[in-house]
Amino acid sequence: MPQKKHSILLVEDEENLQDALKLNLELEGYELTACADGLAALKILEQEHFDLMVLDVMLPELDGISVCETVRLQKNDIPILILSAKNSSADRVLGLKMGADDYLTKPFNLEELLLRVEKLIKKNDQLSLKTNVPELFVFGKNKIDFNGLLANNSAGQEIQLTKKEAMLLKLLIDHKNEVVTREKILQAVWGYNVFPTTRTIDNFILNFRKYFEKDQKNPKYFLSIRGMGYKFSTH
Amino acid sequence: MFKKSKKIKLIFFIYWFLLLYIFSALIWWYIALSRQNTSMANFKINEISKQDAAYSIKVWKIEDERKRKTAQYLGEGSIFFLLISAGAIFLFRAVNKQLIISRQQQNFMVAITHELKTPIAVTKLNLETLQKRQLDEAQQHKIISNTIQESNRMNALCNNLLLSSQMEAGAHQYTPERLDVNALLQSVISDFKNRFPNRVIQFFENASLYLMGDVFLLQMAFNNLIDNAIKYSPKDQPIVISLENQQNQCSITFADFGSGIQDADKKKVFEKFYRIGTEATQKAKGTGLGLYLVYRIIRAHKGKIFITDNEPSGAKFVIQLKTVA
Repeated sequence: MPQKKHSILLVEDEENLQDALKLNLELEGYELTACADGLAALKILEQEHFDLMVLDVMLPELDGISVCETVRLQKNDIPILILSAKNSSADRVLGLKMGADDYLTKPFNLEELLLRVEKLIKKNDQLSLKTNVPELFVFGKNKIDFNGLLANNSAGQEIQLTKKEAMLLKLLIDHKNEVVTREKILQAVWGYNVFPTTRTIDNFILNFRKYFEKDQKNPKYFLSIRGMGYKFSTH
Repeated sequence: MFKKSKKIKLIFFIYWFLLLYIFSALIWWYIALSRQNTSMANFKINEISKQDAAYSIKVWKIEDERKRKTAQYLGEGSIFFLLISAGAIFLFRAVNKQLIISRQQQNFMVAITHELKTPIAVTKLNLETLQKRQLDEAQQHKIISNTIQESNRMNALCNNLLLSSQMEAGAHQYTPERLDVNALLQSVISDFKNRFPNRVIQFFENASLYLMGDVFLLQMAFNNLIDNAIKYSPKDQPIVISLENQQNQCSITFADFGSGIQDADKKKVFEKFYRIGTEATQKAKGTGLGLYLVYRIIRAHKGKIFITDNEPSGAKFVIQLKTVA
């Protein structure tokens, strides 16, 4: 996969500040989407994945702190950098408590902002790459060798896995017994930023059932959760 | 803030507790005194021999005295009750008013922090951008004009702050001179057109119209009104300003096509620090000083200012000022 640009959602209602931030972040090589109020930000976040959100606090329609809280309640773990004119320690504590990862007060230093943005994105990348799945994973009578992209099923067949199949298996196994949303799969495995309605994942899951399930019509391991996503179950 | 509201709750609790205590004590004293009065009367009646020829007259006198004393207790008690109630109401209102003022001042501090820091942040960021990046001419031009816009904004805010504190202290020198209001409006509007080249500002002008006024103050009032119209209306909608000559007076109208002002807020917006809605729901930022100053300035010119609804949407600020030949 070619190195994709990191994307940033910038929520700032002061037009001139938005312009200047956009220019600087774009010149650093980030892909920028900007909006000017809290409700618009939430709407955009529902449809697209971003590597970071730079968020102002005093916003029309819905303030930044509420945006932060809502994003976290929706189980979205996008890194959030709050950029605010409010600089008391109580304001900072509130922002961080409501789920922000970093808090920078206006006026700020450009270099400092760029460094913080870079660090937050890098750290998040590293976190999402880290999995607890061993290179040789066994479930039931099935065995997956992630290093060699090979699998053995209960019937004793050897299956050659594609890179994408291995990535998806790793993601599902890493979140075993939890629902993994379509958006998360598309973003993590395919690197889609915009979420299309696609049957791609369904086809992959059907393949997994073919490989590993004894009864494909009543799967035990690879479950589809209607309207939500997919689950690798060990129960 | 949490601590403060706890303190206020305690103050209100003490207030209601004391009030309740005073009223209960008043009632208790009335009961105690009237009991004492009755027993005194009974005692006096028992002291009179029933064989006494004037028995019934004496009893009547004692009863009469008892009744008069009861009436006296009731009368004095009621006056006390009324005085204490009036005092309590007065105190309650004064404290409430103070609370509202202090809350508005707190909001004002938050607003002023934002209004001052944002232009500083933009200016700093723009200068740092120019220092760090190799930009083409168009980009440089945009950054510089944005920076100038922000410094104008800071200047306007400083003017508002200074003037409002001068007016509070009664230190502002109102210096009227004969001025052409049409020319003054033209210069203010052309300044706004330069600052906001993408906004449409229409001016239905008039021939030269003269009035006695303070150029600096009137300019500031017009600036604040146009600034508000720009802030509170969509970018693709025009701002319409008109100057009409009526008998011995002129009428200046600033109309926008924003969401307008509710009837309940039409007078309140001229109060110091008053801002429509709560801090969280406000669609644009401000300090609550602008319209207050406009009001004070127009009053200082013995003029009138009021708000009406614009058609199909938005608000119209109408100023009426006396003209001179």
